[in-house]
Parts: sequence; structure tokens; C-alpha cells
Amino acid sequence: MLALEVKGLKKSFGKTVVIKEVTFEVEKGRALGFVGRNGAGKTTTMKIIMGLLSKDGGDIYLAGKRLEKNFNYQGIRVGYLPDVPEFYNYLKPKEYLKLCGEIMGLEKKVIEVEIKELLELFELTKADKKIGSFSRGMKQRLGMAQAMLGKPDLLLCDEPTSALDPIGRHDILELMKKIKTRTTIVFSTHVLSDVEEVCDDVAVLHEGRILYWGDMDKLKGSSKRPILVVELDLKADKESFIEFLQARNNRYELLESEIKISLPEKTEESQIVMDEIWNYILNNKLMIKKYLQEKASLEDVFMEMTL
Amino acid sequence: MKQLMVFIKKELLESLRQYRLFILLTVFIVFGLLSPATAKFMPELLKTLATEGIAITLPPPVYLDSWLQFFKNMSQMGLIVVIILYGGILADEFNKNTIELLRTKGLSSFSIVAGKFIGAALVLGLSYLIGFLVSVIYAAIYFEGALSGEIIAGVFALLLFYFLLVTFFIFFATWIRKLVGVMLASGLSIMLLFLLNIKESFAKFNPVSLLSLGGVLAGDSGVADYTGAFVITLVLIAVLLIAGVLILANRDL
Amino acid sequence: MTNELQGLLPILIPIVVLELILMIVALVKLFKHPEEVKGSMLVWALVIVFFNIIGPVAFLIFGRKR
Repeated sequence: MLALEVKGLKKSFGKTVVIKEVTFEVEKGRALGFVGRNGAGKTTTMKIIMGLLSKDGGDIYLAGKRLEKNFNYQGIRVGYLPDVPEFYNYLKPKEYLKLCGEIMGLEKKVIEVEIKELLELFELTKADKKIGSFSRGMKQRLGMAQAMLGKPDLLLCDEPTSALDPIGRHDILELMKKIKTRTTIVFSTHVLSDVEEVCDDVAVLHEGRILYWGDMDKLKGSSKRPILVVELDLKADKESFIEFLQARNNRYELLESEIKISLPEKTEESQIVMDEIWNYILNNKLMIKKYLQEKASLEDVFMEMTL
Repeated sequence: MKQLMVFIKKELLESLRQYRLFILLTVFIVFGLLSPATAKFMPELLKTLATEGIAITLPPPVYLDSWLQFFKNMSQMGLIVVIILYGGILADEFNKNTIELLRTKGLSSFSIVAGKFIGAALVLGLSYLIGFLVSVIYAAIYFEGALSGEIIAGVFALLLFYFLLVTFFIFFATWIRKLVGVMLASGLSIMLLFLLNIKESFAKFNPVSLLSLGGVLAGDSGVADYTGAFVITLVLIAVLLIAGVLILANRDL
Repeated sequence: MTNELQGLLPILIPIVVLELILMIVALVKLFKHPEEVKGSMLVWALVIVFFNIIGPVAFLIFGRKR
């Protein structure tokens, strides 16, 4: 059974086409990583699903039912966590969640029970103070709590980790793994390692189009190109090495310290390339810190797809 | 309807915690106290200040002067306080994006617009009423006289004008969003209404007449002549609020 | 002059009381939640104490982060 179906979605702001054609599905109980660079249209797609933005074309189905009008989910609950959730600073977390529950029209008893449970789950029981004094991480956890209120059938999280420090990010990822068992999740991000940690499926969005959509392990396996990772000690060495790669027309990617070179698929061919690179390093006496071959990670696959 | 009540409750709590009610109550009570006293003692004060040789002849103040003073305060300083406290009543929700999560919970455009207006009207109305009652008591202490229907109508015409102002702030926010734009559009609207007053026959139907109805009380024309202005203001408030609901329902957040 | 002062007493007392309440509320807010204060604490404290009514009101409206 499908929890969410997006078919041929289109959206422009004025003359700028943000969503050219977006189609993907999420099966019930699965977690989909919605991956794309900043500005690829992830937030726009999510806001359209939430009814916060209108669409120019296409259809959205929630649990098989076509979404007719904004905010009319016909009994299907969708929770939403924006990248930077904004609350009323003068309310305490309990009061805010109660306000949300009452707006949703939940019963008083249900609200009380759920708030207690959610505050415990997201470790906010002790945070009985005004939201105005909350840290980013606490706000993000409260954002998750409000999104999970009313036991949603579908949870949309838009870049939930992007504004957080490493500890906050770790906390949120752990929590996402916990709530994965309770609901269907769409998790948008530009950080691919987060997706690898949490998600089952992945949809790659690039310039308003879906490039890949399906099982994550299959996607990783789809690229048979091995990667050669080289790290050089000296800046001058690095510069001349890059010049060498450019002259050879090798596909490479420059990271902070490492250089990742995409090798040909066939073993014999990639061996030749590696030999040539190795010879260059030896002949020019480059100081190497790292020289190894590895399988493509999701990040590498993503880079390859969107380059 | 239940959702509307929830949102009104939120608005009232916000007024309380953000000190809106507290500020309005204090300012309006101060005006309620100060207005009769100013009316009573200002002429005497002027007399003591006058240098010899210049004779200031002022008629002794009467009960009505106390209310003219109240009216003046409420239509000047009072109006400024209302503008500062309520200019961003809806625009802030958009600019701080606090309304987004509540919308994803299914908060309707009707609940937002109606809740904002009713919440503001309750807080403003209560503060205004208390300020008025204080002034009734002190006017009775300092002057001989009694409250007339005309005085009550004149004083509460100003409250109705406050409501119209809040309506402008809400309506323009559904449309323009940015606080500066909302303030500018509201100011221009009021100016436009003042311009209409150039034609004298319009004045009796013009909402801005409510702003100066207190002055009229001292003259010869009665409040009854201005029934048209009351009705038009009420209609304008209703139309703008309905238009606000429709605009909000049919646009991107 | 004493006569006038006596006449003013019934309004002077409540106004002074209101001013004091307003000042105390603003000062309590200022010192209890310094993290919410926009700008200098000292400047706000002086404004609240020396500008009757307007000072505390200005602080409550403009002096705090919302």
C-alpha cells in the first residue's frame, strides 16, 4: 500500500520553474530519503504536499485518496517538520502542543496522553519553560513532537538536521530511527550520510526533476565505478596533481583534503588508469598521505548523477 | 467554530503574556484619571502662569469639557498606542512564520482572521470600557453634570474606529504580509477617507468622522446625524474581514 | 495652592500607584529575564525609572526579543 504518491508535480514562481516534473511514491511504513542540492526544489515539493503552496500541475495522493484542496486530508493525518520550525516564544512546550492538538480537533484526553508520551520520547519533560529560551536542538525536538501529534500516517521532515551542531544532528537522527517504526517518513536533506543512516528508499531530485527513485541499496549498487581516493600532503603537490588530472580528462571531485577520482567500470581499464596516476605520483615525488581504492558511496553516486 | 474558540483563546493568552492587555489597561486608566483633572485644573494653571498685564479670560470648565479632554487623549495618544500594539497583529505571524505549523494542523483562514479580530476587539474593548468607567467616576468628582447618550455614543464611536484600524491591519496583512507595507497601506487608506471629507455631505457617512465625533458633541449637530458613519464603518469592517478570509484561503503561504 | 493640591489628590494617588506598578513590572521583567532584553540593560533601567509611564511601556513593547 502506498502512503504517498506524487505524480507529475509542477510549480513555478513567476518565471522561475522550480519543479519541472516530480513523480515518486512512498510505500507505507518505509522511510524515503528525499535528496537534492540546495535549491533543487525539496522544500517546495514538501510545502505543496502540505498544502502550504499551490501546485501548477500534477496530482498528489495520500493513502490512495487524491488531495483535493489545501489542508483537506479527509481524515489522513500528515505531520510536518520545517527546517527551522517557529513557535510562539511565550508558550511552554506543553501549552504549544495542546494548542496544536486542539486546532486539530483531537479529544482532550487523547491530547493529554499523547503530549505526555511525546515529551518523554523527545526528551522535553524537563524543559518546562518558555519556548523563547529554547536552544536550536530543543526547538527541533519540539518540532518533531508537534509533527508526531495525533499519530500521523505520514511524516514530512524538511532538512531537520541542517541547522544543528553535530550533537544535535546525532540526537535527531537517533530519534528519526525511533519513530521510523511508527509512521511513514519522507526525509529531505542534502547530507547523504544522514539518508544512509535512516532511510530505506531514496529519491534524487535535481533541478526540478527526479533522477532516481527506488531502493537505496540498489542505487548504491547501480554504480560499478570504483573510486580512487588520493590525499596529498603539500598544497603545491595538490595543485600540480589536479592539473595533471585535468590534462588527462579524468573525472574527479575535490573534497576538503581528499581528491576522489572516478575510475572506469572495467577492472583492466581502471587498472591502467591507476597505474598511470601512480607513476605520476612516483615520478614527481609527491608526498602522499592516502592512496586507496573504494566502492562508490551514496555520495559518490549522487555526485556522478548530478554532475 | 470550536477551532475559532481555540484560536481566540490563544490570542487572549498572547495579549496577556506579551503585556498588550496590561499596557492598554494602564494607559487607558491613566487617561480616564487625567482627562477630568486636566479639564478642571488646566484653566487655573494657565491663570497662575499668565504674566501681569495679559488678562486671560477663560470660561469656567464644565462637565462636557472633561469628556472633550478624554476624547482628545484617546484619539491622539490612545490611537498611537493602538497602532504600535496592533500594527503587526497578523503581519508578525507571517514574518516570523509562526502561523505555518498551525496551518499544517488545519487552522482555517476563517479562524485566523476572525480569531485575530475578535481577540483584539475583546482586549481593546475591555481596556477601553474600564478607562471610560474611571473617567465617569472622576468626571463626577470634579464636575456637576450627568452622562448623556450623546457622550456615550461619541466616546464609543472612537472605539469603533479602533476596531476599523485593527481590521485594516488584518486585511492588509493577508494581502501584503510585510509589516511596513501593512502600515503604509493602512495609513494611505485612512488618508483617502480624510480626503473624501472635502465634500461636506460625505462627512456624515465617513468612518473617519468617528474620530472627531467627540468634538461634534460640543457643537450643535447631534450624534444621530452620524448614524450613517456608524453603519458604513460596521459594513466596511465586515467586508474587509470577509475579503481577508478569501485572500488568505486562496494564496500561497 | 494648597487647595488645588487637595483637589488633585484623588487623581494623584492612583496615577502614582499605576506608575509604580508599571515600573515594577518592567523592572522585574528586565532583571528576571536579561537574556530576552534587546540592547543595554542599564539604558533600559534608566529609561524605565526616569520616564514615567512611557518608559516602562516602551520597554515592554520594544525592549524585548519576541
